[in-house]
Amino acid sequence: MSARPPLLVVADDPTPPYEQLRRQLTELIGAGVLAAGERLPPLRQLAGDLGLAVGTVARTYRELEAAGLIVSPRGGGTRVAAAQPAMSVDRRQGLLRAQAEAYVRQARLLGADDGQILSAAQAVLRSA
Amino acid sequence: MLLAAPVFALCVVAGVLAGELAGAAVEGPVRRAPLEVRRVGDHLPRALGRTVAGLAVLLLGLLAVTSATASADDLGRGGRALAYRCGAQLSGAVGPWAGSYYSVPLAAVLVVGLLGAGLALRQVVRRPRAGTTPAALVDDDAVRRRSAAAVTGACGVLVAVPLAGVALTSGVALLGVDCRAAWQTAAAVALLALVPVLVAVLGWCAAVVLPPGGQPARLPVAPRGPAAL
Repeated sequence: MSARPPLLVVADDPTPPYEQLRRQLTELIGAGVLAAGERLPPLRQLAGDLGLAVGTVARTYRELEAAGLIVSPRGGGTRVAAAQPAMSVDRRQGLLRAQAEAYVRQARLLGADDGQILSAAQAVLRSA
Repeated sequence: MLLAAPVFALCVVAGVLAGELAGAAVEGPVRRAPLEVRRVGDHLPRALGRTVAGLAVLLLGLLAVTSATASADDLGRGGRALAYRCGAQLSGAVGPWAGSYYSVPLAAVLVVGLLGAGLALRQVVRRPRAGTTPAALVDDDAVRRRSAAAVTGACGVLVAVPLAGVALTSGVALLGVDCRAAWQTAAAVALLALVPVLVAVLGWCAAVVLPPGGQPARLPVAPRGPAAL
C-alpha cells in the first residue's frame, strides 16, 4: 500500500498512452516522489496493471532512459538514475503558473467568472 | 497414494492458476496502477515456503543417492533393489529401493509440479490490481497471499508424500541388509524418523490448502468499460 499517486492512463485522451506514462513518471522523478535508486514497476507488471501492451511501457522506459532519468542495469530492474538535478524554485514556480494559466483558460472557456474560478479552486484545495 | 498426492497438488496449482487468470482483465477508459514492485517472496508464507523448499532439495538428493546405488532385483529388473555383499560368501538384495524405476517418474512429476507452481506464483504477482484505493489494495494483497499459500501448501503435499514413501522404503531396506555398517543403521533410523515429521508437514500443508471453514477467496471486481487499449 502506498500513499503515492497511482499512474493513470486515460484511454479517451488523444495523447498516446506511452506519452501519458512518460509525462507522469518524469513529474514524479522531478518532484522527488520517486527517489534516486528506487525501483520502478517491472515492464510486464505495469503493462498488465494498465491493460497496455508491454511494448508501450517499454517505449516509455526507453524514452526515460534516453533522457537520463532512469537506468536499467542488467538483472537489476529499472531504477531511477542516481543523480537527478533538483528542481529550482524558479522552475517550480514557472510550472505552477503554467498549470494555473491552463486551469483559468479552461474555466473561461466554460464561462466562469473570477469568483467561480476561485471558489472551484478553493473547493478542490479543501477536499485534497 | 504416491500418485494421488501429485495429482491433488497439480489440481490445486491448476485451480489457482485458472483463478488468477480469470481475474486478470483490465478494461475501462481510466486505468490506474500503483507505483510498486510486486515480488513472489512478499506473498509466500515464509516458514512453510522454506520448509517445502528444504524438503524438495532433500527429496531430490535422496532420489539421486538411491538411484546411484540401485541394482536389479532378483528378476533382473533394473533400478528396483539395493544389492549388498558381505565378504566373499554372502550377498543379497533388498527392496523395494527407490532406484531409477521409481525415482525417474517421481522426479519428473516433481519437476512438472514445481514448474506449474512457478507459473502460478508468477501469475499471482502479475495479475493486475483490481483497484488502487487503500482498501482495495489491502483486499487484493490478501487474495494474493491466499493464492500463494495454497500453491505453497500444494507443493508441500507434492514433496512430502513421495519423500515419506522413499524415506520409509529406504529405511526398511537398509535395515534389511544383514551386514550393514553403522552409518547405514544411522541412516535408516534417520530416514524412518523423518516419516512422522513428514506426516506433520503434510497436516500443515493440508491446513493451509484447505483451511477449516475456509471460503474461496473473492477477487475484488475491477471496473469494466470500453475495449482495452
